Amino acid sequence: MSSSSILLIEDDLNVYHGIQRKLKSAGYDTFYAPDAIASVSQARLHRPDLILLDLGLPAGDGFVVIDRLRGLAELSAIPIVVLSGRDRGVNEMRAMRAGVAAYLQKPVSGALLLDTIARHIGKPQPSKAPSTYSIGANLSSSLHKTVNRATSDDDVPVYEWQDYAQST
Amino acid sequence: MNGRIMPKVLNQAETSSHGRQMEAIGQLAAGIAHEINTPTQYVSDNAVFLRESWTVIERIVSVAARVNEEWKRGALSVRTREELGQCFAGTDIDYLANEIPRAIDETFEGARQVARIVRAMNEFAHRPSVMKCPSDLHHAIESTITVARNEWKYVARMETSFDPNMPLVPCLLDQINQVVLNLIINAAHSIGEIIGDGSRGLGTIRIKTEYLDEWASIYISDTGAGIPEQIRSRVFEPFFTTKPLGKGTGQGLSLAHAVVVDRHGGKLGFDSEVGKGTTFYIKLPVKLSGEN
Repeated sequence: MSSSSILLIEDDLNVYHGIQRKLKSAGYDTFYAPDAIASVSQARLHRPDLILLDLGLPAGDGFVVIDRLRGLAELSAIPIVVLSGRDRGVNEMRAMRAGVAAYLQKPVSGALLLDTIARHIGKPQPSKAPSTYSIGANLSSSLHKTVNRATSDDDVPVYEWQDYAQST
Repeated sequence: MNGRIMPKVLNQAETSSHGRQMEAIGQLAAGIAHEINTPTQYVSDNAVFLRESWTVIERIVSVAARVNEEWKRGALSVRTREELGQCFAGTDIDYLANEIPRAIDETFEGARQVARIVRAMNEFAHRPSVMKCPSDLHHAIESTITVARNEWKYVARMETSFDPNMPLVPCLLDQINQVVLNLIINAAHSIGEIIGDGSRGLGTIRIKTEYLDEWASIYISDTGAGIPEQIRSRVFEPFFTTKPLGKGTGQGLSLAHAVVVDRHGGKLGFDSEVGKGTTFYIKLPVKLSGEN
């Protein structure tokens, strides 16, 4: 069984690097698409377990991507978590109606991001966590602790969040 | 008046343009918040990464110090050597060596980006001009491009070409800023109309300046839809708009006309080709009327 993989659709390379390090620390593999056009081809190529989607993208925004992904039978079941700097309000409602699993607003804490991902695809298999990367090992062992103290000592203020997936 | 120009002092109605400017800032606020949230995200992520990396490095440094001490005493223990080996065995040093400097650089870049946005916002919203002051148009255009970035970056690349011989231009800078802002937003909307689902890629907005024969010109071009022939004579009419509800008030170009032509004795016009794009130009006199 391979480790869980996440496709990060994000036009800002610096944001991508920051989140990629966080996801790698937690033991996830990541793939990258910088715009709406590349997002579908990357999703087809890698068949990720989850898609982390920015809404503001060059040449077609995140809602276009949601529509395209939802319209493709082989990709339509992949949970999409929106991670956007846009104001929640109408964007959140629209994303929810389009069928996303959760909506997170930037800046989001690492603990909340990882917790949200884990709710949908579970935590990475321990055997697949980075074996030679001790930050990952440290983080894996302290992940529960980190999540539990999410509102007290985390990297950024934790925003309210909603999870739209049906709990099963 | 021996060749000396008394500055024109604006009346109350004219200074209310500051209200419009604040309104423009208000409209841009969501975009500006987005522009600040983005670097905040990665600055924060990088800080967490560096904190976690330090816990690993700290252990290596501490064991290495012990190795050095024991080595100097000629008594390097097997246990200490093994401990150092364990530190490296559990750590991808190459990964850290690559990522730590990058995370530091990106953190600086994030801080610079926030500072740039805040500075541009301050400059754009600078206090209302009550008289025409010699102004650096290029600096003002760059600030306006920055505050409006979220309005254009998803539909267009921005290109600038500034005339290095451009002198300071006497103008009501806050009002010129607003005209430039309106034209950039119009250009972005026009490109947005034709890029559709994005499969054809981004359009281009070009801002060029030129100083010629005592006139300072600003050209703002887009690769958008163009203005249909039948409405060209009406675009400067107040409240005339072709934009969908909520996207435009129809006042942008009529206000721009009032600012450029009525208040500065300048010229405002456009060339357009349907399907190819539009170039708006603002021409401002560099010498005030009556000045030698």
